[in-house]
Amino acid sequence: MPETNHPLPPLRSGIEVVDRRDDFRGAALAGVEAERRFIESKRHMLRTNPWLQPNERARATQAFADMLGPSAGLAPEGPIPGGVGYGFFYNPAFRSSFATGTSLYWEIVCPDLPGGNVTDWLYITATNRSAKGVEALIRYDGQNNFTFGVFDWARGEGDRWRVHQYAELAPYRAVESAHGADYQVVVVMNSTYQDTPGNWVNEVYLLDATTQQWAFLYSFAYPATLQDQTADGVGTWGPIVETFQDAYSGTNPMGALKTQLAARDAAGNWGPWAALTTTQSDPRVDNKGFVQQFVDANYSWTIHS
Amino acid sequence: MEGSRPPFPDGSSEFVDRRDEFAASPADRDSERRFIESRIALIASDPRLSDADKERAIAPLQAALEDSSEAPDSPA
Repeated sequence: MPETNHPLPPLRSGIEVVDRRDDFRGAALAGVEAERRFIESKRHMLRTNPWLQPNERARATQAFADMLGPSAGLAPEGPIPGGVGYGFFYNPAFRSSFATGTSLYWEIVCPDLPGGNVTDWLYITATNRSAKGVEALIRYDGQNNFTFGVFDWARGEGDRWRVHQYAELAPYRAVESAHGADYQVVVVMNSTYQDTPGNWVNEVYLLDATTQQWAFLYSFAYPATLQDQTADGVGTWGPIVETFQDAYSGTNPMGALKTQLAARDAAGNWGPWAALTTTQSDPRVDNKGFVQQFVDANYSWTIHS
Repeated sequence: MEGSRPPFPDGSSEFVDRRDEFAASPADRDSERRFIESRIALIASDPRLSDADKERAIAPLQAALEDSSEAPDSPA
């Protein structure tokens, strides 16, 4: 019986060792491509580890590259759309806890420019829980000033997506403080409610920071049922930063403040506004390089990278 | 319809109707398609959902995507 040059684990110290190395030599190498992908995946994990600060990630990634050397031949990381840099999804019970209406209020933390390495789209968006409601969102497209978009899930093809330019939004850019810092915000309320039996309406409002008045800027009425509004899929995400690149670094703070929802019951009465809680929503972070700056669970948060 | 609106979180019910000023033209179909594709990816990668949940959730989005793909872009 061969002897090991190290002690076996205590709970297995009585077990004999059999040398089977010859038996296992027949395994084929997984291949250069498989190896490269394995290594790239590890690099991606280091580059986007949400529990490391950006400078720590940069150090770890550099150390990893130094360890492998130039022969590793790592390619630049490519874009993966539909990721969640950071944000919260409604849990199933809360997501469907309305009967004739649901409304979302939130203050979108949105610097003029995304900063950092953003070269594609990047959204700060949310649904109000309804499957045929609207997403009223901030959209970045590379290093340009943000635009404000309304995507209406109740409209037909080619008619769902409206975009408002930065210049139109001057009165709606406000400043709010949180955790000792000032953030530029756009204050949004979007509602979906039954107007008459069998008919629902989507509405979007922005708060005019210069007059402190709500501006009613969008509405669309359409036939639907409660079953339509609580169908699976759209309506499950609360405030999120939605990504279109694989890894982000150097971006300005973004996020959500004072996220609140209200529900309308079967009798048509709106309930009180209430801040989004940990029992109503769950976090999702897809290791895209973003780091949480603070979270007031789960209604206010900012991230950077 | 007025009576159906939720009150604003600050308790007010006053607003200014700016819908005419914000009456933007729809964005191009490519933008719409990308938006929907991203939502499909969002759901497909949701770790909380089972395969059956994902299939059910993605089906209407896939249909919307096919609608968008079939219709040609209107001239600018």
